[in-house]
This record gives sequence, structure tokens and C-alpha cells, in this order.
Amino acid sequence: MVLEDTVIAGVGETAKSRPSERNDQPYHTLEEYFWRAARETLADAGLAFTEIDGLGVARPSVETPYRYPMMLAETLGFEDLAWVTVTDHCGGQAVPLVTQAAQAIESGVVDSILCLGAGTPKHPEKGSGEVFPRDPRGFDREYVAPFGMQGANALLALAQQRYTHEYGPVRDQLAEVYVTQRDHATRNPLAYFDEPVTAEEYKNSEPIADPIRLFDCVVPVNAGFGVLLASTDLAGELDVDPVSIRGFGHSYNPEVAQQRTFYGMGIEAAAERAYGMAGLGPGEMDFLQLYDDYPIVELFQLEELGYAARGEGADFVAETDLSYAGDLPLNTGGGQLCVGQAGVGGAAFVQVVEAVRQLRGEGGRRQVPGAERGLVTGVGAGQYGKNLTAHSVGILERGWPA
Amino acid sequence: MTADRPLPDRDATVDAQFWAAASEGRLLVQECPDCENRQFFPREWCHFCGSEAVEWVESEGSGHVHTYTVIRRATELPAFAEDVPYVVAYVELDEGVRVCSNVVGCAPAAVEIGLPVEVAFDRVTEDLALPKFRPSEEE
Repeated sequence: MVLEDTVIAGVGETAKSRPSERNDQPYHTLEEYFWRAARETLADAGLAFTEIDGLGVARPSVETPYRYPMMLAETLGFEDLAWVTVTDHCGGQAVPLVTQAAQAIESGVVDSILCLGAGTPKHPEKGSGEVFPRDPRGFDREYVAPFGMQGANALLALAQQRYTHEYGPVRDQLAEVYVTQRDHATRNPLAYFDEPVTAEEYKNSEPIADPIRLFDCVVPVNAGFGVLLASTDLAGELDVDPVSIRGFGHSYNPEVAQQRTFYGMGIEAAAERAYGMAGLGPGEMDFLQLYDDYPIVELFQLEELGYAARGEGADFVAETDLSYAGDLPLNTGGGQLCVGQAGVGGAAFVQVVEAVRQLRGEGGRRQVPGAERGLVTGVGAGQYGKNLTAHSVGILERGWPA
Repeated sequence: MTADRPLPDRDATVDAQFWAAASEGRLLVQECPDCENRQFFPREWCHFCGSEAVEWVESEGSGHVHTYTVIRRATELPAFAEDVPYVVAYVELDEGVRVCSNVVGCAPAAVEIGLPVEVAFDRVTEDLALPKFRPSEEE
């Protein structure tokens, strides 16, 4: 047990909206989503704004100005913070933000850190307020964009195409993943999608970039999220249901020496580190909250996390009940595919916040029976000739650190 | 027609050399004389061993499709909407590196992984040509 003095003491999550499509939904600014998320998270932990001594911010988008965390701290009304940190790992940065913050508590620098992620990719007039955060001066500008690569949709299409060429079709199994998560979303009042879909509707949805179709793509929403970390001393004075971090691991830029595969992710290395720290293995998880910008990315992760051999992820999905009450519950709130993806800032918070809710027994109509321990991941940052390159795994457990 | 499309910014030295050659109909990759690895995209150093001695090698321009997608909707770069459906591919050159490009000169449905291709330069402005690929005439 490495993180023995830190717990997650609160979470917060705003409603989701795409105001350009549903005009009855209000449009809030990015700062307002941060504020709403902060307010809910602090209320959940029973702490006042003035009682927080650390702030962590997931970089919301490529347009984010430098010194943004300090500007945000002032906007939200924090004073004299002892620790401010920011992550810049693209969509998967919630887990690294939480684990960085936990290190600051563990080392005694602060007693509490509020980690926030928010994004406003949908604007009522502009349609899309944010763009996928590509490097404005690098390989993407020189050697990718001139050929009309269409962001992550096209990137993961390349990965899925190559994978299926080597290992066979996955469409029916990805449909199973999506339909299951849609059902979970209908049980989550804060999810964007509230209607189920059938496997046929998934498979016949609009083609975007072969073999990626519309329901393979994450749904961009405006929203904010928060996770409050506290020292066990502080949390002991609060009326909270604590969740502890049993282990975590990160891995960046796998396969840097030329691209070997398009589907190799490096989450295998991150998982090895997390399992090693926790002294646990994949068979000991009560649920998985896997970063899900595309169903194929979940399949890659199931293989690299140790649930199936390479190329056998589809078989694993076919044989496993992934529903909230099933063999291995997957993305029990609906995941980003169905809850919504709040830009690169809010993206992976979906996984972390849902994991905490499940461990506190607050899953309502989607509660995993007897959930004591679960695995969360974050994945982000597509690079030249690879799919995603910033990987993180966290293993969370109900209760105080052992 | 291509005015609002992203084009390479050729100010950076190493990129300027690549694009100047491409615009003369030559496709360059980099080779490290110290460790004998080849790399793409171009950089001022070898990303395998860190050597500064990287050299340009002219590619024969032939290879095969490593993976590809048919773009059906221009979700991020709307200037390409008039081109759909079009193919974005990573082509593995015979020199051993993978290059992001388009497969042109055939229907998208004719593209498959392993398809032999050869370079076909597409002049997009007076002084710029993009290296694209078409199915090879000889297999």
C-alpha cells in the first residue's frame, strides 16, 4: 500500500448539454462549468471554498491560455493555495491529475486538493466551440493534416482497420459494448443519452470514417466534473464515505522507436505498474471504468489489461456479461460514449466519478452488487502513426486505506 | 479550392527541405549513418540513437498500404468535405517507414491493406506538391 494517507472524499458532476441541438438547454461558459463542478464536489465532501489548499486542473483545450490554473483559481475564488497543478495529457488526464494530487497530499504538502475537469465543445451558434487539440507546430501540421486526416475519428478508424485485418471482425462485439453502455446510460440521470439503442441501430448508424460509424464516436457535451482528495486526517473530521487509491500506473509514448502496430497502446505497462503497486490482478476487480472514446479502444484495453490475449478481445466480450449486474460490469454509468465527453478536460472524469459512486453504493438503478474495488483508465493523445499514447490506470477501493 | 485547407508550414528547416524536394517530385526519408535506422516524420536528429548525423535518402516511392480509412464525413477539417469519400492511409514504403497520405487514382472501394502503391505528386500550389499514392502499375 503506497497511498496510505489519502482518500477521495468527494465527487461532483454537472448535467450534460448540447445546446445547439436541444435549445431548451442552457449554455454555460467554461468557467461556469468549473464553478458548478467545484461547488458540487465541495458540497459532497462538506468543505467550504476557503478550506481548500490545493487545486488541480485538467487542461481544457488547445486554446487554453498559459497560466490558466491560476486564472481559474482567482475566478473561482480560491486564495492562498499551497499547491496548484495542471495536467496536459489530452483526453485521458483525469487519472494522472488525481494521482499527481494524491502525491502532494501523501508528501504532506497539502491536506486537500480539488481536481477539476470541464469542457464546452458545443456552442449554440458556433456548433463546435473547441477543436481536437492537435499540435499547432509539429508533425501533425506538416505531415498529417495536409492529407485530410479527420481527427480522432480517422485515427481510430486506421487502428480498427488494421486490427481487424490481423485478428478478424469485431463489429458484433463492439455493438454489444455500445448497447450495454447505452442501457447503463438510461439508468444514469446525468447521462446525455437517455434512450436505448439496438445492435442493428449501432451497426447501421451514419458512416464517418470506415469502419467508424456515428455510434462509435464519443458524444461531445458541455459539462464539468470534480474529484476532491483529502488527507485521511482531514477526511476523518468530515462526514464522508471514503474511497482509497490502491494502486496506479502510467505509461507514455509506447512504441516510440517507429510505429510497430496501430493498436498497441501501452496501457499494458501502466496496468503492470498499477497491479504491482496494489498487489492485485485483473481477476480481482468488481467493475471496469475504461476510457471509451471509441468501443475499439475498450477492446484494445481489455486485451492489454489482462482480460484477454491479443486478438481475443472480441471473444472475451462475446463470452462476458458486461452489464452492471453481470460478470464484469463495464462503464456502468454509460461511459463517455453515452454520458458524453466534455472536451479533453472533462473526458476521463466520467470514469473516475462513476467508479467513486459505485464504490460508495450510490449507483442507483445501475449499482454493481457488492462493489468493493474497481479499475479506471485514462487514455489520450494520438501521435504520428500510433493511436493513443498517454495511458493511466487507477485501482480504487471502498473505504479507508489499509 | 485548397485555400482553406491546412498546408505544411515550411519555415522550419528540416521540413523546408522535405517539402522543397517533394515539390521537385522527390520523396525523402531520413537515415541515420550511426545506427542505420530510417525514420519518418523528419527531424534534426535520429530518434533511435540521438545522433545528429541524420541524412536524407531519396525514396523509390513504392510501398504498400499498411492501414487506411475511407473518410465519409469531414468532421474536423471541413475544407475536405467536397472530397468525400476519400482515402487516408498510412503507406509503408519499401524503405521501411510509414507515411501518412492519400490513396488516389482508384475508387475507395479498391483500396485494401497490402495494396501495392507508388508515389504520385499532387501539385496544390505553384511551389508545393503533396506526395500521394496510387495503385502500382506493376506488382
